[in-house]
Amino acid sequence: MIHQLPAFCILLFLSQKPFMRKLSRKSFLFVLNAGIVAFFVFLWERLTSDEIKRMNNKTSQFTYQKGKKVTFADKYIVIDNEGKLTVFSDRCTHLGCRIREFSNDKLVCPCHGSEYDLSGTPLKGPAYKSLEKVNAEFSADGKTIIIAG
Amino acid sequence: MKVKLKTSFGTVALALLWLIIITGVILAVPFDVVAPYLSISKILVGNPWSSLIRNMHYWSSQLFLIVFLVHLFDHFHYRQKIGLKVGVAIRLSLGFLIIMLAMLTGFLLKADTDSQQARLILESLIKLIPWFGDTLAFSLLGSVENFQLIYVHHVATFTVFIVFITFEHSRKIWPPAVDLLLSLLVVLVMSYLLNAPLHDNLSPVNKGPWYFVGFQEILHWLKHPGWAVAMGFIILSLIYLVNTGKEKTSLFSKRSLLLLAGLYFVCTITGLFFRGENWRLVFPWEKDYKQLVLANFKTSRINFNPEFEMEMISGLPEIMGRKESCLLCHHQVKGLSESHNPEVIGCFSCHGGNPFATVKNESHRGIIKIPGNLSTARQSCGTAQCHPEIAERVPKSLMSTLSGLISVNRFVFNEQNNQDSLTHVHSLRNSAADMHLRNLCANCHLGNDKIEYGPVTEITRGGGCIACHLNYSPQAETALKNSRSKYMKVHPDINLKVTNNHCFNCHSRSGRISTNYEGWHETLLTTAEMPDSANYRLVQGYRVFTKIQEDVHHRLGIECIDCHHSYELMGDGKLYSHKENQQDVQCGDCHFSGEPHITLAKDLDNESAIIASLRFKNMSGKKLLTSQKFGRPLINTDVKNDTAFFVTKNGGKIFSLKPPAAVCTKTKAHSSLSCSSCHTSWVSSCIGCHNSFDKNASGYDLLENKNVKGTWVETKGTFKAKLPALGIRTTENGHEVIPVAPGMALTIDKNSYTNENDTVIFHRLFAPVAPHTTLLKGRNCKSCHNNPEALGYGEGVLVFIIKDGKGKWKFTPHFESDPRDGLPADAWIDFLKTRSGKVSTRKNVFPFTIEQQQKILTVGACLTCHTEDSEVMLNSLYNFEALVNKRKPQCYLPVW
Repeated sequence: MIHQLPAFCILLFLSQKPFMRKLSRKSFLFVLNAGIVAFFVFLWERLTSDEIKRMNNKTSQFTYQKGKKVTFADKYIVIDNEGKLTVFSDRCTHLGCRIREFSNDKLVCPCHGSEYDLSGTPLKGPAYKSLEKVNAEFSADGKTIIIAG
Repeated sequence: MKVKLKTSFGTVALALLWLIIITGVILAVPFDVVAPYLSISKILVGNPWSSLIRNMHYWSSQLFLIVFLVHLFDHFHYRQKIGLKVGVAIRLSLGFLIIMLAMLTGFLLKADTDSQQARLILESLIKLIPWFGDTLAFSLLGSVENFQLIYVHHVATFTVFIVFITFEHSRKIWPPAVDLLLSLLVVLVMSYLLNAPLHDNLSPVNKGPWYFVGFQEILHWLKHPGWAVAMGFIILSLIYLVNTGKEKTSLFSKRSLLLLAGLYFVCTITGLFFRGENWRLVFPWEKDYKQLVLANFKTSRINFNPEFEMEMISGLPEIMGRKESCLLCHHQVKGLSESHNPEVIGCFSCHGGNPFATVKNESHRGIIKIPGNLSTARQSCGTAQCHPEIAERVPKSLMSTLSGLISVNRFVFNEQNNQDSLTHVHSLRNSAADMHLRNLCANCHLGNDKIEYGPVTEITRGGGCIACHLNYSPQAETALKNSRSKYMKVHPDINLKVTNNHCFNCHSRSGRISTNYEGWHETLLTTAEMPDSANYRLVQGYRVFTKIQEDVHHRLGIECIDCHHSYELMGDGKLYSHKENQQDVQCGDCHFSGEPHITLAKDLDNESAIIASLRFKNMSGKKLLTSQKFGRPLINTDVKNDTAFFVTKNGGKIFSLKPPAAVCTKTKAHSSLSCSSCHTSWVSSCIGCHNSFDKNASGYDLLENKNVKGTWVETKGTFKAKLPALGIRTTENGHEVIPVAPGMALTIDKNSYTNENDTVIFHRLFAPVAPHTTLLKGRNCKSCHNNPEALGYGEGVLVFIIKDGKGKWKFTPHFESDPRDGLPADAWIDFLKTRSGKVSTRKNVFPFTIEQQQKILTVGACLTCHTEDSEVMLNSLYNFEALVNKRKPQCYLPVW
């Protein structure tokens, strides 16, 4: 969305009636400044989006702790329900705090007190969305959980 | 000459800004943005001058924020229009935002758990901004793996902007000298007395900086946090309007801002003083208030003359990403095994306190002297980085809840109508039944805190994790005795070497399985009466035991933990009403016929795998037996070439496991018998116990560990070691014959406690028992079929009389009939009769029915003539009915 902003600014300016009539010095400077700002915004957006892509492409690997009902590993929560695995992102869906506590059969967010059951469904707010499920695979020897970025 | 006072909130803010910049530049020297948390802990622990600079940077910025806000509101006093130019007003409004961001990035640069969570919240909030939220969030915070961008913005972007705005706004570079000096003085005093905060990364409480705690409170109430972002824009707009709007607009904006500030103040107070772990409301009168709320304010002061040598700091190990000051004094502590090596986990992980303080009193403030007690387990053994799931399970296990014991006790006191309600020792109140337990039994639970140093002995009770895992070496005991020396050099170990002695202190009472297992039977002898013989043993200084038959497993060197695994002992997270429900391993798991139930070592669950590797190192390729009840692995077994082996966990002794005898499995005759009903050599049997409350005696409340006036007194009756009686336990699959003993054959003078004209309660309840007195060879046939005690009739003479061509059983009891129910004192049922209703300490355990008694006694009649190893009796095991039908004329069956 943001990369359309420079073009949007220029079009907005060009559509102004005074511009259509006569290009004053003030208008020219405005166009020039807007162009420079738009240019840097464009560069900033391209650079940042590339970095974000690169960051999100990292694969995560960690040891599978068999039989452990809830494992907190890397950025994830692994639920082992008698051999049936579910992997969630450990970020609370309210404001992204890292959940690191499993208490009384509930996953609890330390920041604002949201609670989830082991299927990721919120039991207590402020969060109202379920935890984000993540696709995970096992390594060939079955000992490592691999989550592609 | 009059000196015009130039000081205002604005000039003080300018002075503080200079202090922030100067201290910030110097702080950049010891601060390491690659490992920020570690570098700050190093500053706190090992460099008081750096610490002073950090504190100055912190306190000058906190004061700057306060003075800046006051300065902002100071302007609002003027009723007339402020009328700034649009550009200046926009930059001023932005300045407010940038100052808050500069403060917040300073908070984030601590990189402790508070900061990391705050960073994630900030990221989520910025991402909510439409169109360029993601880009802006990444540009401000960068990759989660490092703090580079945050650092750059903190020291450069925001600082430059604030300096620019300040100059544009005030047209001043230098603050008045007086303001600078006064500010410096206040900041210096605060910096010396109060260290800037750093989270210990173990406390479960996460809070933002004090000026954003109100925001955290607001976010707690907001289902859609986008409203918080909108509110931020509204505040900035209001500040803008105050500076540029017409009179009415400006006044409205001021009033709105004041109202919002008031509300924010209330939220801040709530967040700071009434929110604890997981943002739960905690009030000052609650038990955990001090630890969950006030702990946030704990801070130490700078110590320029520490007791330790400053050179030692360079050798200080890095512990979970930080430096701890504890090891500067408590260095070279020996005794702990690798799992709890202080060089790896430090002291703070278990003992709490303040890991960054360098003054003894401050380091030891809030210290947990004896970690492992369940009351503090969540702050020591059970923290998120150590054993949280176990600390969660143990309080639910029967050894913590005492659910069965409490329920049965309330049942016999007629305070509840069943024996199986789930309850917890901490639910004990002041009823007659509960006080009975408080006076006599309520210290035998894991939640009872261990409050004195020293090894686990016959008289220690409870202790949570250390009830089982604490082991004092001789050196540690010596060190404890000589503990007047400055620092303890030898620490007791915390390990997996759980011995029978750890179980003995509690389990030598009630069912007495520990003493039974070792072959000790309690007598009614006093200490003075105890013979001087190796066959007698004094337990706890006053209980006299005599040596009789030990359990065959004990004779082989097998200890309690060789059979009982971690999910039995520490619970599996579920609540159980009785021990037989929680208990998993059965005789048949090791002594099986047919195909074994196995699992491969590589498929072990995480907990079993860790324990197995710690105990046995290499587990690769092992095939392990599993329990049949819950399918748990028995990590000390191994199946090789169709032979199952068993190894003791502490001693390493190896045995090949034997299948049960043919008589146990090859015939149907005894298929409903539990192994212990035959292989038990003896049980402790007690009858005639009387309970009354002595109001005038001095007593003790074992639950709360305090002296009380009045106590329940138990007057013991006869106490014998004998073969158990047998009873029936109904199960989902039918029923099984189990050993039982008179568990509650007693009287209770309830009126002595209640004064409500209660009659004396009389019960004749038998209890299922797990005697732990196993014999290799089972009891003989007659000991059941011809034994009145086995059938529940009690002691006496049971004879089969043949008269006039008819056989008839006759029983003459040893004890006289009790007038209250007409039964002999030691009987469960009358001869060839049965009972229902309140008959046992379980709702599913009953005496034999009349038909079952008749069946048993019919075989008993045969045994009066035929020996048990005779061919006819051996054949009877396969088809008794057919044999009876083909009996000879001289064989008489009993007539009923």
